[in-house]
Amino acid sequence: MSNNNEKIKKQPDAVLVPVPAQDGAAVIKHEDPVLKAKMHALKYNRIITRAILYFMLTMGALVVLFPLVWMILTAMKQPGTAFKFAFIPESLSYEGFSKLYTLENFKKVFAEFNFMKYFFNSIIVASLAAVFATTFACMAGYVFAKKNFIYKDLIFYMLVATMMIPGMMYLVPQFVITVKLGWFDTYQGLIIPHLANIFGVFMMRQFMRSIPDSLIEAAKLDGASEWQVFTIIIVPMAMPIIVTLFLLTFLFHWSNFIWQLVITKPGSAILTIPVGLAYFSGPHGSEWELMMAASCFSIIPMAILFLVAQNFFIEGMTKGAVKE
Amino acid sequence: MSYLFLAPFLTVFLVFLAYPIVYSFFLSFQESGTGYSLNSLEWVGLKNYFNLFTDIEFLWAVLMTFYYALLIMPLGILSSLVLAILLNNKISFKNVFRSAYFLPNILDMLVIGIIWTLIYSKDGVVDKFIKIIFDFFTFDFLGNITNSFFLSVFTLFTQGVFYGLILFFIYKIYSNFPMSRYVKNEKMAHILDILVYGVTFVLIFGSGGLLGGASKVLGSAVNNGVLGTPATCMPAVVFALVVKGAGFGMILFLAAIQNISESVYEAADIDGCNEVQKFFYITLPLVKPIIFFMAVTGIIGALNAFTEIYAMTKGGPIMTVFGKSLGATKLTGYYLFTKWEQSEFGYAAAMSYALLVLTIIISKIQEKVLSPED
Repeated sequence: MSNNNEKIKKQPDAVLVPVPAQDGAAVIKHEDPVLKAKMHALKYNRIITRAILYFMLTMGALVVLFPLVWMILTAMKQPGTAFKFAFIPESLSYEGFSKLYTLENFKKVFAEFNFMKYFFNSIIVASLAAVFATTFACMAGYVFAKKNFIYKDLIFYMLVATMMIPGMMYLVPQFVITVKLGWFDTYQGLIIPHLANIFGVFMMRQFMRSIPDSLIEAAKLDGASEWQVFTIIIVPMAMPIIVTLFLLTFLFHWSNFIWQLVITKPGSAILTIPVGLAYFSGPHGSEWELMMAASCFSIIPMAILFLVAQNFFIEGMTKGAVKE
Repeated sequence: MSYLFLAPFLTVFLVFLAYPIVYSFFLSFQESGTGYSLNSLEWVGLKNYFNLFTDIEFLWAVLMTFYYALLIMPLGILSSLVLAILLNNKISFKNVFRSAYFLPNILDMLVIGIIWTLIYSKDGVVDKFIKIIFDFFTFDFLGNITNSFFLSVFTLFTQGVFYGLILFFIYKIYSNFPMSRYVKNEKMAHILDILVYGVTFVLIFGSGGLLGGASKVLGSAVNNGVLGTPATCMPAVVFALVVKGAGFGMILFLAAIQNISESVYEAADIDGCNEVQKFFYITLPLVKPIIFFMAVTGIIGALNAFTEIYAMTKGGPIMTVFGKSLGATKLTGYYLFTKWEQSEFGYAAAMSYALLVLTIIISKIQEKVLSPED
């Protein structure tokens, strides 16, 4: 202690020693031992907090992504070894890996699961529905944002009221109405009943309010019709929000499982991926390697879409949630 | 002119969103007669509603839906908040973590449910973990002492530490509240002390107590899988959903936390607040609207819950309550679906209406309790 004190007495203030740097400028260096020790402790604490933080973040990511990792690992396992706890091959050679892993499951699923047909149906249903729902919402949103017409408030109030109703309540009446229209087990039946996206209308209205009225008036002075104003001015300006809404509706229809389940017949030609997977799990429920390979096929398209357009997804989903 | 723009949307809206509400009301007074087809609907008056409110299975489904909501709301909010607070630091790879947490959100619920069914199934990962815990607590160390001496001794001591800690905490808690503080008569106080200690001991260690019950549940989970055990299936389903949905709430909380001005925290620093106080007095009140939103969506999500149940439990496992066989995870959404499967459209419509009224009541109550204004 005394030794330490002496040292401090010898150097009461921090001594600033100019050190010539390589480019010739003077760099000031702190040489106070107490300050140095404090800085060191602070730095040490910081490193530990950082380490804990990164550890927790990584653990969180592991838990969240665990099902996906597990799916891929199981999908690649040899038939009948789904519950065996062996993931690291004995030798890092081709033989070592092929003892544990195989790609046969994917081939088999491709042959048995009729994946291409389901994939085609899902793409057709989701993209058609997304195109129409986005167009409809875009047009309705424009009218609500920029026009005045009779019953505007009444219709708007109806939309707000309907939005509160849990979707499950619609299952039976929508089913009965669709069947009575003769759309059971058809593409129309899969797509049309879910085209009215109220949330999308609100999103569009919110965005289009910010488009200045003077632009629209200027276009009208130049002799543009209502439709031209909409297609030439409004749509290009609202493009980011249109892309977002398109992706969100695409996502909704891609995984709109319950509706696709009730409105199609088992073994029908227009089954989508989730429904196909649900029927596939009947006879193959205990062949987990096949089930997981089939799951891979149905999840990976969406995962790729997310990675490509993740900002659209994240912003769209969260901005819509905290509305107004 | 405006109506031309509105027409496509409004047509679909009126036919498939507004009209079904009215139609559902009419449907709820009808019953599918012979053949259970749509063409044989007959008027039966209020019969469906009378049946509904005396249907134990329906009341049970409502109860289970509340249970599900009460599990998923706090867990979902807590996990999202924790992730948001972790991610609200200056870290590298922030976007990578954000994407990783958000990714499961956009994936198909059915597929995620099927994957979790594999994870939870008998001999699956979770089952193997539970088996280790179960084997440890039911290890017969006296019977095995000649076989594996070290394992026996090790188990004896670790179990001893576990039970000892429980006893120690009971003692610590009760020694702060001796009965002589509340009862003047010294003998009475001693008797009450003994009673309180004894009852606590039996509740924890007794054959029908907490630990016995836990080991029974674990044993059943080992034999039937987590999803095949009534006590564990609902938490298991909820856990899968919380893991899937945490990223969504995280983004909401993150946006709200980043909106809080840095100067507020600096002012708190000057007033000498520590991190915990800062969280409870600044962060929490300012993210209250998000909590309110997540509570509302939690209830609506519980009433909508179908795909996860379909993929993971199909309403099971069957448990016996007051002599009735009821599905432990048969939520209202899934019960509605089974009624649709049986072509009881009128009954299902009546159920939809009852649930709609329930939703409105709940959201009004939530608005009163959790309103973001105050």
